Amino acid sequence: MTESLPESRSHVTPVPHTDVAIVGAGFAGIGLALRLQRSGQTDFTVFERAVAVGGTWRDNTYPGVACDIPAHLYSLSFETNPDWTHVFAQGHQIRDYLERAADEVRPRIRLKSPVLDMQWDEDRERWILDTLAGRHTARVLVLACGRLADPYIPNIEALEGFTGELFHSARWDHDVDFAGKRVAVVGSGASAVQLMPRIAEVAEHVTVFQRSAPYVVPRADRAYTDAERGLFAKDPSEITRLRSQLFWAAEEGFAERAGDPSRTEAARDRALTHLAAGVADPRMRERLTPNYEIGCKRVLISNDYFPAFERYGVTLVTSPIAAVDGGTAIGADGSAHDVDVIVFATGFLAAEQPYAAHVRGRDETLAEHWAGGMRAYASTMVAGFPQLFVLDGPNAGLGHNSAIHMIESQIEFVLNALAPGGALEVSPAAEDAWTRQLDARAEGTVWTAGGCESWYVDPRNGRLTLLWPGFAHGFRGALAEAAALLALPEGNPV
Amino acid sequence: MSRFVLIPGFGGAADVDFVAPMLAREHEVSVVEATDPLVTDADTILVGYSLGAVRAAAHAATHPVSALVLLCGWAQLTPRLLDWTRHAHDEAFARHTMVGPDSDRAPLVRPELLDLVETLPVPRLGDIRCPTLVIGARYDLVAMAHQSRLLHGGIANSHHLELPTGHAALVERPAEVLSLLSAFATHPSVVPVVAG
Repeated sequence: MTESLPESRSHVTPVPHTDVAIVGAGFAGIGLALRLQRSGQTDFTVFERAVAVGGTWRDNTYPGVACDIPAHLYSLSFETNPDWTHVFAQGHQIRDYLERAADEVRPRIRLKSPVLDMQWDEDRERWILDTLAGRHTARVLVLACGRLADPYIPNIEALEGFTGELFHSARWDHDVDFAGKRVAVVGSGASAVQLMPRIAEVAEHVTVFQRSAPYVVPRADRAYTDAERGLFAKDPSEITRLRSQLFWAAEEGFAERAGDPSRTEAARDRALTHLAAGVADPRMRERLTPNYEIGCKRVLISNDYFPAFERYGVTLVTSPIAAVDGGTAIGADGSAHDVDVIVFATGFLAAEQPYAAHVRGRDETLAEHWAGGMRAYASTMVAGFPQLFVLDGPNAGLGHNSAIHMIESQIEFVLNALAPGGALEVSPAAEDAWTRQLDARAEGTVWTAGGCESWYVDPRNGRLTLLWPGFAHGFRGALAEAAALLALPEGNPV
Repeated sequence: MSRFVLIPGFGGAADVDFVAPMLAREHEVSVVEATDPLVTDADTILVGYSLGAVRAAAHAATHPVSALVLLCGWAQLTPRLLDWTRHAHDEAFARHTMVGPDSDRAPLVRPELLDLVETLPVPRLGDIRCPTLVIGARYDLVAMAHQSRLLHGGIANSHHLELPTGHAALVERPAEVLSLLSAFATHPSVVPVVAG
């Protein structure tokens, strides 16, 4: 469908118009596209900046990349997969799954189409999208850009003078052969815990720069038997049953993070017992022991991270990397380490999403609106940004259960809003009320008071902006209520 | 905020060691063991599990409560249930018969509570007027799912749900039970959705 621009620009080629523009083809973008198409709404376009779909699972190809949530739960409820080989999926398996899922909507996905600018056109009540492939307009704009999309590399003195090779874990250089190399792994979060043992088994030596120690619990993985996979294929209700079991078991994990000291203590004991089983040297154990409450940062799962330190003689530096001098990495503690490769497993720009600077609403950019931390009504709609929805944005992450469940809750919210009678704009008062309620709920929780620095919290103001401080089922319930309130005749709830 | 009174089952307070503190984040919660005195008023949401459900139903038939939740209870004392209470003094037998096929949890059974079953008054279901949520369990070998359907049949203002668990629903799926209780407290007239 195409439409002309206003008079003054009518000499230009007609600008393609789409009813719903979706930016990003990861789990959220593909999930929404599938739901739209299956409900008969086929006037949508997915814009993807990369050469393939898959989001974070396309970008993260480091050795050992895998998901920490069981595969049958970490997949779309309306696009289940009987063929998961193990309880936990490897990264490439999730990427393949998303590629297959995308086939159904592939004609409506535009790859290699980064959206450079998104601007609300008040007169024509539509969004103008400037992409590398030209201008588009859309009635509704959905930002499905992910939260772990743009790599973060800390400021390090003289890094540009490093004489070896360096890259971020989400931009893996597969041409680098680690055999015989001295490698610095910067970071000790989810990516580092997965990739360090894989590098250590081939490299000459590995040094880990640890800003703060992670809590790590056992990874209870196993292969599904042929009989189990056969049953999943023949009777999809078995997948539904398993998903339900996994979901409600994961929900119990929230109690460890909020309000139940005995469960918090049990979780801490489980992690510290796992540490003791993996590391014999008490001094090393001490340096690998977190100094904050469990749950404050993401709890990691791995069976080979701790043992790798002693098995491969990995050096642990308990400070960040501060500077580089030629081929030497220097820790903030002053220690110097000669290395050939630096791998940054330092996470992503999460609190300040780069896309926000390129979205211009009525009076300001989304980045300006979020200068005090990300915020949105129902985690999805932003005041002053009509006909816009953000998936996987403010307070839509989780520490204890599947992110896909959260994304699906938001997709449902968007579909409700797009249905006849749905509201496509939210008042500042409604956004304020929602934000105040969330801030109050976050106060005193392990994320704001647990004594750690995590990506869940906006470093500019200490607000918990990435994580939903509650149960996953509570998020779904809250969004369902928020959608119902929006649909009331008086609209714009306060 | 609602006021909940929880009456646990054969495990005593251990049965609600997830649900009680989590519910208490948003509501006023007290736990009354099956043998403790029970006081309610017109604002109380009374929740009973297993033998606690039978006590809760009997109480709600004669005392004011605002709403009632009966989890894995029974409408009749069957010979099968009586037989089970006699064998359930054997810990392994109790454990294996209380959980459903998907669970490896080990529910606690306090032997002295088993003997209470025979002495509990049979609730007069027709006298229960408050909104009631009856939750049965598909793989309940102790009370049997059908008994929850009978509770639903006998109570005028009730909704009925079934969880994919054994009798030990509160131990197998505490978070799901919590979600049902929270939803019921907010909207007692709407049937909460069972995700599974």
